[in-house]
Amino acid sequence: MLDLYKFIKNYKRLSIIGMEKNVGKTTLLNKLINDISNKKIIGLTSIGRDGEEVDVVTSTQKPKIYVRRGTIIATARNCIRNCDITKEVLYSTNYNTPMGNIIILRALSDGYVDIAGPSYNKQMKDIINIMESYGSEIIIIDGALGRKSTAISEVSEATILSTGAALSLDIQKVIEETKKTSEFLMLKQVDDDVKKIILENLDDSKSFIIKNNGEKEKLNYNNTIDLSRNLKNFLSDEIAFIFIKGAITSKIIEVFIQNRGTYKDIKVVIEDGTKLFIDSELFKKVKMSGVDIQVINEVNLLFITCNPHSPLGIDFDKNELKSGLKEVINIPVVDILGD
Amino acid sequence: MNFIDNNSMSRLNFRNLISKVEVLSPYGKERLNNIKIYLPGEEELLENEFKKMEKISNFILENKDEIFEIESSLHRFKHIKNLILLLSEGTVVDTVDLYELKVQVIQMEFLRKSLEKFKEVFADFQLENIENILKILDPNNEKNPTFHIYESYSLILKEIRKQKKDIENKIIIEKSQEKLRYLKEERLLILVDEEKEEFKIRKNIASKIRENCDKLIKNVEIIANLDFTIAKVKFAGLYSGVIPRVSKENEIVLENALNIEVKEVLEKIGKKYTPISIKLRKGVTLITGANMGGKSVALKTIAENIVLFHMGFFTFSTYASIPLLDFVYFVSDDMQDLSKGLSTFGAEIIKLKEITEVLSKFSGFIAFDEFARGTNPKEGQKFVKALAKYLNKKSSISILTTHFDGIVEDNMKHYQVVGLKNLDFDKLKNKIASNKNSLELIQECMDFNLEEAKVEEVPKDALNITKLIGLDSEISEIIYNEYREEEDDE
Repeated sequence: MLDLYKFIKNYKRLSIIGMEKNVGKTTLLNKLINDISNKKIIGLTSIGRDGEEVDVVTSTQKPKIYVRRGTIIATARNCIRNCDITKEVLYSTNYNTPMGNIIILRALSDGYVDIAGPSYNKQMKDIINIMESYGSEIIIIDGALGRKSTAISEVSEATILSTGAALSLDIQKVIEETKKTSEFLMLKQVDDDVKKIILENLDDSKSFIIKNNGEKEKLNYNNTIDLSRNLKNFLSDEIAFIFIKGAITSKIIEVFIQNRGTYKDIKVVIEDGTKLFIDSELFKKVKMSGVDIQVINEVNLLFITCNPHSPLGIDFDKNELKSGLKEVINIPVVDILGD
Repeated sequence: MNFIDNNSMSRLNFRNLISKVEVLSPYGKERLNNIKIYLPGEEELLENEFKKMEKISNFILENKDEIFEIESSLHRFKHIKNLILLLSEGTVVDTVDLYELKVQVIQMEFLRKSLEKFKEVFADFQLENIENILKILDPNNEKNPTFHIYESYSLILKEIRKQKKDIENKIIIEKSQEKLRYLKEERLLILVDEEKEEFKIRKNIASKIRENCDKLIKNVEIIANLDFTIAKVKFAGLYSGVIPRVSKENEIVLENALNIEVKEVLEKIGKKYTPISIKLRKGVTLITGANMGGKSVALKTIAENIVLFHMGFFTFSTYASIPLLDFVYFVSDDMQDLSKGLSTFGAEIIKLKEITEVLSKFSGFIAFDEFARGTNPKEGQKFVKALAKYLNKKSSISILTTHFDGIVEDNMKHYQVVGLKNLDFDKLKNKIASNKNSLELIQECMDFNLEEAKVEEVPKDALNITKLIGLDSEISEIIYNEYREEEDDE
């Protein structure tokens, strides 16, 4: 079996994200834990919680992540009773989640754990620091591709993407979607000086414009629908950058396409590629309209795992999926169980 | 009866003032939200409180590092009163709860040792020794602020965990799925044993802690008191408060008293603030004086300091002597009552009704700001005069500000805002002529000091102010004639 350690040995903070449920993210996580545990102390947490791993028969949470003794975990108080490790309580934070406050535990034995971590960037950063202060040598964050979730690029140095047959019955669609997502994740970072300006103004407003002459103007809106309605009034050829915090929907992107000509070569800056929710067609169109989408933090995508098994029982040919992905994506693709 | 009603509190903006008191622990915060009021009969208690505060005040000045240590220690406490309560009821709590308790016990022990070094200063804040509780939660004497169900609690647990470890070591290297399933089943059985044994241990721990719970509860109380007391001392230091004298006489003396809120506002815009000095005795005292002369501010200042005193705070003055009173009322027109559909006057009368009922049984402090100003002046004057006469017969200390003439009688105390009395008007008028902002200039020239007045008549600063602002000459002329006619009538 392939040893994943070589891919990640240089990183201290790792995140994993899945294209869909049941694409084998937990398999990946368990494989990572297995390959790292005898070399480094792992600190494990997640961004919020998947909440999908409910046993249909008993309606109880069924944790599937199996850690080795010595692992440090950060999870919500109410999830602790689902963990069958012998637990040492290291620290109790004031960060609250719907499932109680986040507790830092050390596993004194091997066993299953149920992880539900914080949902906010600042909390995640703090919790990572706490786990590191208790001796974690490598942090693994079970992340999510969600609209409201933490920007993984801000809390981790490197990311692994899981994809698989669960995404679609059509193998071409799985390949297309995975290609698109990896492209988004690897969107180029905006110039450092612009990044600096954005970070300095981030607390002040959610989104703003930077003009060619360096002037800044706030964009005030309540939600993305509101933004897509008002955005066109701001577009002009004086604009160099538009920073938009949070999710970028097709509604917003369509504004740029419909109003092309009213601006020249705009750079739309977003937090990172996990915040972009559009399809490949729209992505191409907006590019041709003169919009370059850049990010504050580029995601360092290490490799992609592909799982040819579908929970519906209709499996792809494992070589076809893997080679199909390799053809269009420029980073390593592995099949955890197959390789 | 409340010592002070919500209406008076909000008119004084008292909660805003109290929010400047910086407690460090959630226990201190709880104490701040439920401040004890000292009532007549508790003079000695209040004097003791002031003595405690004085000792700590002196200590803070000379022991910066030590107080820092104590404060950092207070800052670290979490609010686990509910957990302690559960334990006192004999509840078997979980591992995380035991962790929270252990951390708090360690912090309490740390603070206890810090306070023990200054037994004299913190005589009333010595914590109970809870080393025995710590021993229960730290059986290996590791002194780590972490917790798990230690194997040293039970040989059985030690054996179970050994078995668990053996099987886990097999699981991790097993390749056969079938054997793996079998091993995991076996592990599950051991888990059940581990959980059972851990519960037995937790139950045992809970019952041992229960025996000592009263000490924990007492310590929480002391920590709340200590935190609140230090916060009060620091609050006093912020605005140079002094220890007030707890008077046995029915008389209030304030020298150079401050209203923090007004002072801060004025200083922010670079204006001078005038502290007030006043002596009040049972019966009524009237404050009259110019418009814009700060009568309301004076009234607020007095009331605020009296309330602070009753809550065990130092007063913001250079000297204060105040007796313990049954109640404080601060009545001024209130937009809140207006929104309920009452006129200003209606609201005042309803409050007055309430006060007259209280007055028959208790004695306290009552302040009326411009009573009956909302009704027609002729009736208003009669009402204020009647109110002053009525209050003057009571054992409570009352104070009224008013605009009306002819209220003061010989047996009433009377203060006046000095106002524009000592001003060279021609000089000021020339200044105003060359300077557009006349209002600001008048404010600058206004003498906000209170002085005991001999004359009964309210000064005619309204006319003076009008002259200075320079109203249209036609209307000025008419106003001036009105005054002349009145003087001629007399």
